[in-house]
Amino acid sequence: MNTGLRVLTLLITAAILQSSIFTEMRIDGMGVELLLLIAILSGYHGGPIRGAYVSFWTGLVNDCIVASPLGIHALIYPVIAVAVSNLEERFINEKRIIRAFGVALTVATGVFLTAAVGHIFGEKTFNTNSLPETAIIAGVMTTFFSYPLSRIVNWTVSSGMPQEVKTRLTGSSR
Amino acid sequence: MPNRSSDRPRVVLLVLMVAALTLLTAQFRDFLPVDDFQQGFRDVISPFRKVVDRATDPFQTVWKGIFNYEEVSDENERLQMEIARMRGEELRDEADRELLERLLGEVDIDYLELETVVARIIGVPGGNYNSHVVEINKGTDDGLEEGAGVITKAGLVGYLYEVDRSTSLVRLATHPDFRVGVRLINSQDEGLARGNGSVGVLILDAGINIDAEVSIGEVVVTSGGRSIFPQDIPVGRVNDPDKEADYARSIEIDLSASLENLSFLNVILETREN
Repeated sequence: MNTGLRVLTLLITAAILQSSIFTEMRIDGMGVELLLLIAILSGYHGGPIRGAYVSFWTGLVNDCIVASPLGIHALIYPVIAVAVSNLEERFINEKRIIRAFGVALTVATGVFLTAAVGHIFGEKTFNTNSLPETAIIAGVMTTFFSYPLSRIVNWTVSSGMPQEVKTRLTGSSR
Repeated sequence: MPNRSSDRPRVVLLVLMVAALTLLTAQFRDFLPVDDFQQGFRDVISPFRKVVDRATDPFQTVWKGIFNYEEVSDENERLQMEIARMRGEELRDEADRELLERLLGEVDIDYLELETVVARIIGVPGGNYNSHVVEINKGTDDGLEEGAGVITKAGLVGYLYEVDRSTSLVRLATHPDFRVGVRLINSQDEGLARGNGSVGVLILDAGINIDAEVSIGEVVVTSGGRSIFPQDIPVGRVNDPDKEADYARSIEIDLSASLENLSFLNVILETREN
């Protein structure tokens, strides 16, 4: 299966889940940002260019399912993906808890940025009264899904990319 | 010599941002069928959504039981009190019905006679931004159109702002973008009320004279005219007439329909020019 088809399948599946079960799974009215998580993970696994493309389409899909103006999420998600891709090397060897904190922080930042851009474009729908609370809860809830989704996104966006070269120094015999 | 490979992500990012801004401009200027594309996408995934919703229904019930227990418990208590109150009022209502019909006839209020479609609320849209919006289980297949007013027997609820084939989104009256022309029953003054994001409250701050006589508890109804709502739909009662205002009145209206506890809605079929 080529990358385009994998991405399409992933995005449609994520759109269905986000607009069904994840709409109901809320704590105090706040829910999981599944598509934002895909944008973050595509930057992490796919690199800046592939991550930017995938997250752009992810943003468009999110704009469709939440009925926001087409382009608002698509404007933010590639920026997040490229930023994550640039920070990836610093986090790749960190403990899992640190990486999870990084995901939560990035989701919260994404929620803030989307609200800010929505506000700039006069979308009062984005004007939530409790934005910090929303960002934190959404960040924490979304992070719980990052581990299983990370593998799926890795499989989706890494196809056709050069494999990681593993080198091992075995004592003095090189 | 500049490193071209390190510049490429920036170029790609710039191109994608320009593409997103172009789409946004297209939507705000209405020169591309962007809305149709969004509706089409939602229509395509709609059957799959229903299947997933049904398949995960037990899980959703457990989730709600764990995280919304207090809310469910409060609602249960409220409904029990409501049943008790309604039983008590049943006999009195019978006697009052004749009087009510006569009064409604006198002031020409016939909103209960409007042709409507009954719709069930199926949830809220995805994401964390769509507060004051609910999703209903009727769409264009049931004759609904964008901009149609939504009411309950208690009064004004909101209007349809996105209509797909089998579902629609209702922008509630408390949404910050909601506007409705209203009339105060006693003074017959008319003005424009708006939602302000607060639960159960509308703000009437346009069109009302600074010296208008407005009393607490005064009934407010829709004014009709060019509004999407027919006239005389109950909106609510004045909670704060803002009599101390120096320059502009900001009258607070308590909505008569409880928007937090809705299950079924009536969508008005005869839409008018907004």
